Amino acid sequence: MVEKQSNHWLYYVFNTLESAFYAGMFISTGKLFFNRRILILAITLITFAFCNYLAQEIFKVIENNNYTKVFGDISALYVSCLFFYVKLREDIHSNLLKNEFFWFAIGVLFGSLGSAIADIFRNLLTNVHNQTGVPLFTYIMNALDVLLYGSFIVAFLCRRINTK
Amino acid sequence: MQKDQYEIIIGIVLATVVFLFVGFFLIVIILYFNNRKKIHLREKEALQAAYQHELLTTRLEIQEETFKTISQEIHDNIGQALSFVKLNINTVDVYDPEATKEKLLESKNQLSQTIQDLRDIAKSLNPDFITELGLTGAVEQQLQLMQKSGAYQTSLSITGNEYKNQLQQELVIFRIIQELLNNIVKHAEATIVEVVMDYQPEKLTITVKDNGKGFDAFNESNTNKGLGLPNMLNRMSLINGQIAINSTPGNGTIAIVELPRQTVKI
Repeated sequence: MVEKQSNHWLYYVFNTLESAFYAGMFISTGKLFFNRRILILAITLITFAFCNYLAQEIFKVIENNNYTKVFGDISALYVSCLFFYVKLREDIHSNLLKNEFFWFAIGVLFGSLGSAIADIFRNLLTNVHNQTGVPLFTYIMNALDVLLYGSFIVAFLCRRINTK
Repeated sequence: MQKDQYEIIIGIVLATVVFLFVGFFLIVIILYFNNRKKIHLREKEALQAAYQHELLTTRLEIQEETFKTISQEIHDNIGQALSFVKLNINTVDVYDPEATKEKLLESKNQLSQTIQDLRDIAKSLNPDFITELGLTGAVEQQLQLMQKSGAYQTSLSITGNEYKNQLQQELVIFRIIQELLNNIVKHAEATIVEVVMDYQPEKLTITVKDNGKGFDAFNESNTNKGLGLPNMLNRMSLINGQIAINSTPGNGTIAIVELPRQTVKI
């Protein structure tokens, strides 16, 4: 009998890195009031993630859950909406379809929106997978990845064109 | 059980699709508003350009009007006065000390008056004379020039606590008053001109009234012909003000100019 070891810590590390990448990208747009909000949100998220990890893995007072992931998704969703709001409030007009940060925010918006839903219904989706053999969660996440990384590719292309 | 599972699957897939659709909808809305913003900014730029253009035209017109007045003043007053002094000096009889003394005294007084007139002219040549004198001072100076011609009896009354508006607004208002006074000189055949500047807390109301022959203000061709009313209306709307002209034949003309205080800066 092989004892299964928890690999949640790895999941937390990658999630933190992903969130840090998103936060860094949004901060680099240079909107000051916006940055303060991102930092506050990031600190809250890290604190929450740490407490959740301790409660799950160390003290084992709660069951394994994906609250941190859902919280992270909702935070990313909020920040991307905030970015759109800031862009619309700007006094100067720019073609958003040529703006790299706009495409980045679109990717984050779709990625976080879809993955928040998938994470909320994760247990249900896992049950469905176990009973019917249809890996629905994987399908949804794959579709979201196509949207997320597709948007990032467009963003990188826009960046390349804009900085040429 | 199998049926329940399929219903759940369909529900989740539908929920995901709906949320993704919401995302797309949000993006479309953002792009739509961004486009609206572009149109709005273009309109704002066009309005600003029109405002700047009108302001420049106003400045040029004020300058032109000032030059005309100065030219007339030099020709009618200063030229005449200096000619008179020259004539006086030419006719001095050195063997008649009494008459000489009188003529020199007369010439001295005339020269003092001319110097004063030249000082007034120099003041109105200053491009920032509205800033220096203020709107009331500039209007007063304009009325004094009319009064000096001897054809008009002018009066200026100021009520309320005087305050300053934006310089651009004062410039436009001054040009409009100048135009109204010009119209009186050119068309009204008036003898009395009254200007009332009422500084209310929420707006400045200026009334320009004359006792001239008047005209039919309800006849559009009269107001458009040579009086420059469309131009005045256009300029007032650019500074968020209003102008109304009330006149009937034989009863003089009353023009009311209103400028709200703290109007939006364009």
